[in-house]
Formats: sequence, structure tokens, C-alpha cells
Amino acid sequence: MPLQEIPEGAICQSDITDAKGNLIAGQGQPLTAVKLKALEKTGVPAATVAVEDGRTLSVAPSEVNSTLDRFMLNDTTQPPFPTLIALCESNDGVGG
Amino acid sequence: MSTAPSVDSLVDDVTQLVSQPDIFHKLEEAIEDPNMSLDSVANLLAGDPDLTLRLLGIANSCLFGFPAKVESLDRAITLIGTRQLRDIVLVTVVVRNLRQLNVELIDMDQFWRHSVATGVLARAIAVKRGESNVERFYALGLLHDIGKILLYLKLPEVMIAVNEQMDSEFSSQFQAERSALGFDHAELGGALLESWDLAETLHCVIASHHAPMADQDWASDASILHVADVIANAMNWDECGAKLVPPMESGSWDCLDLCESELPEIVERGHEQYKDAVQLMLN
Repeated sequence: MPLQEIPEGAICQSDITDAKGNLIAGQGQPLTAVKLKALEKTGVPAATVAVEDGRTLSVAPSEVNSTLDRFMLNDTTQPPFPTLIALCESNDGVGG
Repeated sequence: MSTAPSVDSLVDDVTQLVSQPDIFHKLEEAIEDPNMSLDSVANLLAGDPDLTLRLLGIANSCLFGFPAKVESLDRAITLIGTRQLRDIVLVTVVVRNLRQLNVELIDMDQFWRHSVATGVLARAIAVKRGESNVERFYALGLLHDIGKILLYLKLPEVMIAVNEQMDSEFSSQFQAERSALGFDHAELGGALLESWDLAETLHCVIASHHAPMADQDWASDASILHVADVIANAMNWDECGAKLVPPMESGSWDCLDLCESELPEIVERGHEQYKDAVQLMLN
């Protein structure tokens, strides 16, 4: 299920972590709009959530489609990634 | 169930297909000879017209930025210097030999564009750090992924599975290769260069470019290559980067002793040289 289709308020059936193991949303917590945005930005290898009507859905980013998605194997808060990501974003703008 | 082939057996197989860079070894002998003259080196290289043309093209490119046009081989050798010339000849000959191979599962133009991007960025980092013989870093970049060609050539089915694993598990290629084979393209490429009796400064650094801090003897050079590879994948010039930027090994950026604020200048310098270098190397 593409991340964009996950409804706000869906309950996580298990912990969802990013590629570095940082917890984005814990088991039993609802997926707020902010958390869904974080998932979109960092991407997740795979995760499972249960929505309120009882269905269980496996979720994963359907494709790598943003600059930040491409960096999911790295800790983007550490040097030199903040500058490198900014350079990539300006590179996209000039068609490099 | 068949067992995964070893690095040695793959290198043995491939050396039947890819010729050794003989002219490079002859050039090394000539340079080491105390009685060697520049004329004798120029004559040796002139026996290979394609190589001569490429060397003159490189001498006149923005990689060197000489103010006047370099029109003769002996002039190019004088300006470039024999040590850097040796590395330029090596990559030119190896790339020429490998480009003759028909490897169906790999986009060879994209492969070489990524190699060139890594080379110019490694060279730019080396210049920034004040390293001697910066052409060695360009050579390292050009050759750093040749192990991938061997894998796609000899183990296409394994590499299809590796690509599937990369897509399904969001892993980088070297991690998926290690999972499937127990080794990665970096180790294989290093082993091939070692089988050609090339210097440790080439094959050891290439072998460790995805684990640059593993061997302290090569940590500095391997970190330059490793970081250049990550930047080349991130910048994705002409879409030559991987879908996912490979992980930068902890400590490798610190090992370079550079400020993050110096990165834009390094990338800009690399990009200036990239188009010229692609044209020279691939056309």
C-alpha cells in the first residue's frame, strides 16, 4: 500500500523504524499526519499497520522518488550530508 | 545447490577474456630504466595511435588546464610528468579493453559515467587535501567498480537476484553481493588488478573502497575514494548514480580532515571536469 494512501489515525501493529533504526512510530500508536510525513521523507524498508476497521496492511514506499528517499541508508543529520543534500537539490534544479 | 564461486576462480576466468595492460607494463619498465629518455617513452606510446590520441586529448583537457595547446606526445609527457602519465595510460588501456566486452545486464555508458564522476571527485578531494600525484585518484575512480563488470559477465543469474534484493530490501549493491556471494565487487576488482601485478596503491585501495577504515595502511586513500563514490552517487550527474546513495562508512569523512563548507567547491570542481572527462574517456 503506498504511503500516501495510509489514513491518518491508522494504528501501528509493530514498531516502525527508519533505515538507521530510529523509531518513527511505536506499536499501538496512531499514525499522525506528522509521522506520516516523516515516513514519506525517510522511507521505511517495510512496516505493518492496522487501520481502525481491523484490516492489516503492509506498507513500504512504492518507489524512491525524492532526494531524501535516496539517502535512506545514511544518517542525514551527520556531516557531510546536510550540505550534500542541499547540493543535490540545487543540482536537480539545473538538470546536472 | 551450487556453491558460490570464489574470488580467485572468477579472476582466473576473466583473465582469459580481458587482456592485461601490456603497454602499461612496458611503460613502467621504460620509466624505471635509468637510461630511459623521454624520446624512448614517446616512441613506445606512439606505437599505439589510439592511445596517443587519447593522451593528447587528456593533456589538452580542462583536467590539466595548460595555457597553450599540447600538440606532441613528448611535450605532453614533459608537462604531465612520467608518474602521472603512468596512471593515465593504465586507466586508458584498461577502460578500452573492458569497453570491448558485451555485458547485457549492465548499462555500460551509465557505468563509465559513474566511474568518471567518481574519478574527478576523488581527484578534486585529493587536490583540496594537497595530495601528491592526484592522477592516481582519478585512476582509482575510473577503475573502482570494475569488479561489477566481472560479476555481471560471469554470474548474471546471481546479479539478477542481487538486483531484486536491492529493490525489495532497500539495500545497496555491495551489501546484497556480500549476502549472496560472501564477497563484493570491490574485493573482486582489487583481486583482478592484483593479478595484473599492479601497484598495491591501486588494488588494495580499490578492494577496500566499501570498507575504507578496515585497513589503516590504506584508510586515507580508500576514504578519499569511498567519499568520492558516495558523492558521485548522490549528485547523480546524467543519472549515473545508484537508486540509493550507498552508506558512508563511519569515520571516513573525518579521515579526510575537510570542512563540510569545502564540499561545494569540491563538487563544483569535479563537475567542471566531468563533461570533458566523459567525452575523452568514452568517445
